This record gives sequence, C-alpha cells and structure tokens, in this order.
Amino acid sequence: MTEAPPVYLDHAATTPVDPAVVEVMMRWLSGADAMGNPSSRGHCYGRGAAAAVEKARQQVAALVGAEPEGIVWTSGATEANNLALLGAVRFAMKRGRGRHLVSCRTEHKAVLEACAALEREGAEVTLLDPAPDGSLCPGRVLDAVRDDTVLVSLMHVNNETGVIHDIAAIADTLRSCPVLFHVDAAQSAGRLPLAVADWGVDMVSLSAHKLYGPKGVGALYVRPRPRLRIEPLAYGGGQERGMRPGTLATHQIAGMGLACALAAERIDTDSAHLLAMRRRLWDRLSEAGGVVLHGRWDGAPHILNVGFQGVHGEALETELEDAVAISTGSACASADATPSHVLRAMGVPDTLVISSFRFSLGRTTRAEDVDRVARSVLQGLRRLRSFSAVRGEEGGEIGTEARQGNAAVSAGSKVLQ
Amino acid sequence: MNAFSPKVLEHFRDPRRAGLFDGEGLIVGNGASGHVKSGIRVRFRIGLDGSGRIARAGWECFGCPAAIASSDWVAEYCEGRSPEELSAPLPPLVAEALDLEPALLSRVLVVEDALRAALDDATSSRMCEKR
Repeated sequence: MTEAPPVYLDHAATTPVDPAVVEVMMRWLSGADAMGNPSSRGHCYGRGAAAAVEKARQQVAALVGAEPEGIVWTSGATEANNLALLGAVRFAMKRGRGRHLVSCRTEHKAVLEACAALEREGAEVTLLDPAPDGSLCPGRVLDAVRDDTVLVSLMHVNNETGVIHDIAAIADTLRSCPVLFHVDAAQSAGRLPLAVADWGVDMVSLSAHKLYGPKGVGALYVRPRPRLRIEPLAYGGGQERGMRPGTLATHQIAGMGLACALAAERIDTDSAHLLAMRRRLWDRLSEAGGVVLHGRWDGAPHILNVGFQGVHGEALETELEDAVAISTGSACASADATPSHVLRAMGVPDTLVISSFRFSLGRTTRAEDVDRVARSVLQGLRRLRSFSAVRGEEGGEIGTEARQGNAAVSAGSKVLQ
Repeated sequence: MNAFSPKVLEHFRDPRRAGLFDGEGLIVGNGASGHVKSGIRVRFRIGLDGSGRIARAGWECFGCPAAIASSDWVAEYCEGRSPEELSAPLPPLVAEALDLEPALLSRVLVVEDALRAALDDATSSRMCEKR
C-alpha cells in the first residue's frame, strides 16, 4: 500500500471544519467591516457584527427546533454543560428550592465532574445505572426524581457508544414534575433530528466542532418562555442575558451558525450515508470473529464501538496507527488514562473494555476508507492474536491460577492444556 | 499517547520469539503470569538442553506494545544462558535495552514472573528426570 495518510475515523472527538465555514469565519476576522463589537449598537460596525451573531442564533436554533432567543453562546459543550448544571442547581440552592440532581453513569465527564463539584457544595446527586445495552428506561428516570430534585441531566447520544436516550419520551415522563431537564446534545445535533421546544426540554448543550464547525464555540439553549433563570459562572457586561457575559466572538459564532445551517440541509443524506458506512464497517470487522458490539444497533449513525477479544487495545492501536485514527477504550501508556467509565457502567467486563475501540464516521468517509481500515484491523488482529496469551470466549482467562492477584504465577504445564 | 521507544516498536512489530515452540528433545518448562483484566497476561516456555542451558525460549502475550516487546526481548536474552545466569532482576536490563519509561516497568515484572515460573517448572522436571 502506498503511504496514504491514516483514515480519520474519530469524528465523535471532532470533525474537520467545512471550507464554507472557514470562509465565513475569515470574513468575520478580516473583512473591512468585521472589527465591531456586537455589543456596540451605536455604530455600523457593531451593528454589522450583531446582525451576524443574530443570524447565527437563528441558524443554530433552527437546527435543533428551539427559539432563537434561548441560545446562549459559550466556548463549547463543556462550558454549556457546566453552566446548565452549576447554574441551575446553584440558583435553586441559594433560594432553598431543592438541592438534588439526577444523571446517569454513562454521561460525559463534563456532566459527571460538574455533578461532583455540586456535591462538594452540598448538593445530592443520583447517578442512574444504564441497562447493559447502554439505554435508560424513562420510568427509571422518573423514579429517581424526589421532592427536592432541581434538575435531570441526560445526554441525547452517548459519545462513546452512540446509544440514544429517548429524550422525547423522558421529557414527556418528566412533564408531570416541576424539575428542569437538561440535555447534552453535542453528539446528536446535526446527526439526529431534535425538536427542543416541542419536547419541552429546558436546556440543551451544543458544540460547533462536532458538526464541522470550529473548536472553541458552542451554545447552551436556555428556555426563554417561561423564562428560566440560572446563576452565571462569570460576571461582566451582561451579554447573553447576563448568563454568559463577555464580548461575543463574531467569527466563531458565525462559523457555528453556518455549520448548523449546513448540517440542517444535509441531515438526511448525511445520516443515510453514515448508516451505510457503519453497516459496511461492522460487516467487514465481524469477519474476524470475536468482535463484540458495545451499545445498540439503533444507535447514532456515526459511532461504532466494538471490543476485539484477545488483543490489548493499545497493541492494536499501535498496530493501526499508520492506517487509521481512532479512539481506544483504554490507554495504559499515558499515566492518567483509565478504562472507559461508559463501558464499565454498562457492565462490560474489564477484559473487554481494554480491547475496545470507538470508530466514528463522518460526512467525508468513503467506502474505500472503511474497507482499508477493516483490512488493516483484520490483519492486525490476526497477527496479535497469533501470539496472544488469551483465546477465551470472553477475552478472559484461560487456565487456572495458582494464586490470585497481579503477580500471580502459575507454574507448570497445566496452564497450556 | 503511543510514546513507545523505537526499540519497543521494533520488537513489537517484528518479534523474534513469539509463540510457544515444540520442545521435542528439550526439557520444557512452562509458566504464566498476569491477568487480562489488569491489562497483561504472559505465558512463557523455555527448553533446557542436556547441559542445562536454555536452548529455546518462547512466549505468548496479551498486553500493550511494551509488554509484547519485553516478552520478546527477555526470551531472546534467555537463550544460551543457564537459569543461574538469570538470577539478577530483569527490569533494569529490559528498561535499558528497550528504553522503557519507568511507568512501563510494571509490565516487565509480569514478564519476569512468567519466566521464573517457567524456569522453576523446567528445573523441577530436570530433577525428576535425573532421579
């Protein structure tokens, strides 16, 4: 094979910026009239920038079926998640209106760590366990709600497994209680249809760089009617209804707006393409045998998370680094890495978590890319399995151990029988 | 993330002693160590010749590239040596030979355990044979 660059199958981590998005961003960086502060309504430069921001607000809102005035610009989905959780729970706690929140163990760290921070401030958190396929029954969410529950926070699409939470059904179930419902839609926006206002969701986190926009910009939808009030994370000039002060980054915002508009145009063709590519990848990979799907078949179209029995994820990752860019379930060479909390929460055995990979496909992924990746994976699996010390069904142990523990040694030829 | 040294990658990509050989004519010892759930599982086989030296060594490994490379290096290092010549701790030798960063040395301990178990196994077989 010629030295083609590795195939990029890490679109759930981030996507390449669409050239049209780059163009509109450049226009708001270098255009002759681009220097205005969107808050400077007194001159044409400011008003021009403000108009660009408002157009982007419309574009973002349209993609997710929300009211434009509910969009609050942030630096990304991490900030949006923090603003939603810390903002809503702190607001309620200060006024003695509850101090409990409900979330799930498979959530993104931006939610789980925000929950942990709130716990340190005196809040109580209930983290739900998902079903083994990663799904969550709406009834279980409702069961976790208490009298003092302020907020329920759940992601729409899981970033590691692509499992979809039925947000419409959960919102419906929660309609009877006076709790806020926050949804992290960073992975789903632009890939699945969202109807935020119709569903009755109170807050939604969005990110530009997951949908072919720039890194460093996102949004939190905060229900405008009836007005939902949250505590800001920072204080300043009152921009974004006081919820997120600071000068708006016109170029970033315009870029996110166009990325959302393009995503809305292409959502049907994109997801049909992604589904076909995911199917093709699974068909090719499963030829290897000992390949386990984590999650569900009806998950988001761009994510395929699989475990390869008998090989260490990092060994296969190293084997594949010239062929494909993907994410592994664990990385033991880097000091701070831990096995995926998502797969663990689903009850995937550790033996398989460390053999797991997330392939995430994109708009520009071609069938020949998928085939090339699958060929490399099959080749790598064959080689690594040829000398693997594990050939069990579950990727687990073979042979009996004389002692348990890290340094267990079992001497004798019985191990090999 | 894959900050493995060129020497680790060399042994990982082109291992010389991978697999468990057929030990006909040799006194064979087998050993295993580690757990899949802790990210490393190693099996070692050594074959002693009539003079008590290690004529062959082979391994099977489930683990990261550093674990696989360490297994291979240790197997190569064993060959031609007697069990007594292997009594010194292996991690410093492997670390130097493969430019292993300290965080990865725990892998070598598991490889060493598997080797020592195989050596013990072979030595006890040899005693039986002598008797």
